Amino acid sequence: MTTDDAFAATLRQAATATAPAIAVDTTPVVPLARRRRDRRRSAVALSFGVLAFAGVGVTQAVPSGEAPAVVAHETPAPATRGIEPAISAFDAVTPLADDTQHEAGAPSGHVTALTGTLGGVGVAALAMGAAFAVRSRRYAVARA
Amino acid sequence: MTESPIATSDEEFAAFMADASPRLAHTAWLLTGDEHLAEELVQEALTRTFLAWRKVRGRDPYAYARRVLVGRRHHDRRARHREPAHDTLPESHADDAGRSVIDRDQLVRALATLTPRQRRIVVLRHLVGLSETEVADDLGVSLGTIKSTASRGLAQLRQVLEQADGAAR
Repeated sequence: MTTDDAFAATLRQAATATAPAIAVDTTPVVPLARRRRDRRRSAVALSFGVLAFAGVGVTQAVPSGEAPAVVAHETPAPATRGIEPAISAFDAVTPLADDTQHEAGAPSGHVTALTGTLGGVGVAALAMGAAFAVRSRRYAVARA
Repeated sequence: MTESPIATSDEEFAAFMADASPRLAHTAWLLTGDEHLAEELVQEALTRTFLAWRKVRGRDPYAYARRVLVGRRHHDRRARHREPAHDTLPESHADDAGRSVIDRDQLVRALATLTPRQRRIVVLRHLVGLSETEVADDLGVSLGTIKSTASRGLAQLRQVLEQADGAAR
């Protein structure tokens, strides 16, 4: 045993012998942890809800039917046989005439569906966030 | 009738708290030198352990709690600067009876002369009795750093305690 080891052993003995017996009150630990967890969940859910509603706003703000739809069409077959074309036959696209689209300004089906989904998700997230916030308050009251 | 998993988990955690809190409190007291701060630290470490219980229950929850405790101590000290480190060991009011025995006051004051990093390493390595590898894992530093810092810290503690002993004679 080196001098350092001997001194360390003496110190350890002294620490064990002289340390006060600390009675840790563990009763607030679990309520505090649950409260903290609920507050975190609440913050995450509320942020998610706000993001979902922002998404609804974006889908409503972007006017649908302005951008012309595009359709692929086949390019004429290459004159030389045996040489693969550098561009795929379906790469070339041309704008589709707007008369095939629905009325300008009217939301298309998928935009409506997206808006509805985002709105639903937003409402659910906000409700969850509020529920977690209420529950975390309940833990706080119970702790007090 | 079978118990629900949540109830079982809570009971497990309660048993863990009962078992671990005295040991954690001892470590916390060595790190802080203050009973109230030590109790706060242990409560915080146990709270965080509860939050991570599902992950750590199968491994070593005590090691996790100890790591949180040491980390929180470091964080709190940086944030609050509540206790100034002593460069020298102040005069002890104890009389000369049992000078060869290190008393609590001496130990606390001697530990306070170490830098926060030295104190963490010396406490975990020499006073709690962890291996060098465990201390390195807990603190996230290299084995070489643990060895050199523990050696320097121990030498400083010895010097400070010997000076105090000599002054009291």
